[in-house]
Amino acid sequence: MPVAFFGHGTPLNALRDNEHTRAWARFGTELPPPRAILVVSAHWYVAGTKLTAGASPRTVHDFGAWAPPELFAVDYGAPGSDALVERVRALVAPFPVEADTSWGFDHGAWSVLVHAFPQACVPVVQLSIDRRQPPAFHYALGARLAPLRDEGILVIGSGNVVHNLELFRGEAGEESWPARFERCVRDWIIACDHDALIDYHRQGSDARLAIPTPDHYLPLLYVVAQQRDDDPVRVITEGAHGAMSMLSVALG
Amino acid sequence: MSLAHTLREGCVQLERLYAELIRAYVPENPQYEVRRIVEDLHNKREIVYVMGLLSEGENEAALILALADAMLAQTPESEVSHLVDEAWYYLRTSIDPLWQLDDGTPSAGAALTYLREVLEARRDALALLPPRALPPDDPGRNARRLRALREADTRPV
Repeated sequence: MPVAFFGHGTPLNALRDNEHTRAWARFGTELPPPRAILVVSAHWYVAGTKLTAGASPRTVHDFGAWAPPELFAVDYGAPGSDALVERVRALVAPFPVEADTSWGFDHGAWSVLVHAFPQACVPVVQLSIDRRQPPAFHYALGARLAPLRDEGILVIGSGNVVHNLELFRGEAGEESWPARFERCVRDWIIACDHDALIDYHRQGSDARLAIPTPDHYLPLLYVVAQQRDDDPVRVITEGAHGAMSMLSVALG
Repeated sequence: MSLAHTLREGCVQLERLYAELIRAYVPENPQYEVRRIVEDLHNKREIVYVMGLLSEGENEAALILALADAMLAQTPESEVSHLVDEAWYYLRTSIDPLWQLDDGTPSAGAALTYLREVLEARRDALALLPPRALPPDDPGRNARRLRALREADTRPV
């Protein structure tokens, strides 16, 4: 099973038919059916490492009143999987991971899954990002999840490698800093340059503008941590729009 | 002074200020023991934020610095520089959203002092505002209303 990172962009992508969402849908159809999906979403960025537990986690509408009613009406009704929760806990033991029933599937997960797995029949579990921890921790935790690939579990990271809402209307074009940094990240993934990806804060001003806060970038580290030497790298879609990158890649 | 000490001292001062801000914000109501209720509240920072006395960026910065403080209190060798970095980002962009690139070193001490000073200024400004009070109650009218509601309520007791 490959691992994949999705640049999810705006939550409105859940409702849109565009080049990116069509690419996500193609990814879902071209994949061997996964037994379950583990999603690391930028939008569950909390003080602790947690997993969504229970048979039917709720669909979380984690955006403001600006969103249209159709977006609040999305209900991604995939089942949860306590078996996967227990498997992940076993893989990362003795590091403690809390089984959580308060959160559910947030838009980082379902805005992609409604396109890639529209039937919502594959069980889904979300893994939170412990905001207290440095990048190397997230990479190491991701590496502990690597055996899931051989067990038919699809691990997805969902965020954006360029995500700066304050500068959203600022830059465009191939030579703009968002486009430059998106290409950098893509090239580091292709070259398996994980040190560069982990030490992103040392990669100059483009990186500092692209990753003002770590939440949308860290899901990528969970994915590349599972990259194998012989994994083909497939760019599912890409493109920096304003200060947001839609770069989505599959490894393996 | 160590980073752990700076964070501890600054976070204790902020916690005290949150309680003072809530007390200053809540109308005088001694018969309901406002002080005791405020002191029992959990997560006063979020209440101060909901009251509009902390901006979103200030709230994030204060939250993150408190996380760093808690981490160092629990495990003194914890790595928290990334947290100070993130708090510094939220704080500076709460002042100017375009203050994106910053060549200086993030300072937990400066961030905590800044937060303390702005919160003290807001507490003092609240004290100068006229007290907010609801119109006086009319006990007779209220009693009639409650009796009428009871008579209209046909649900099982």
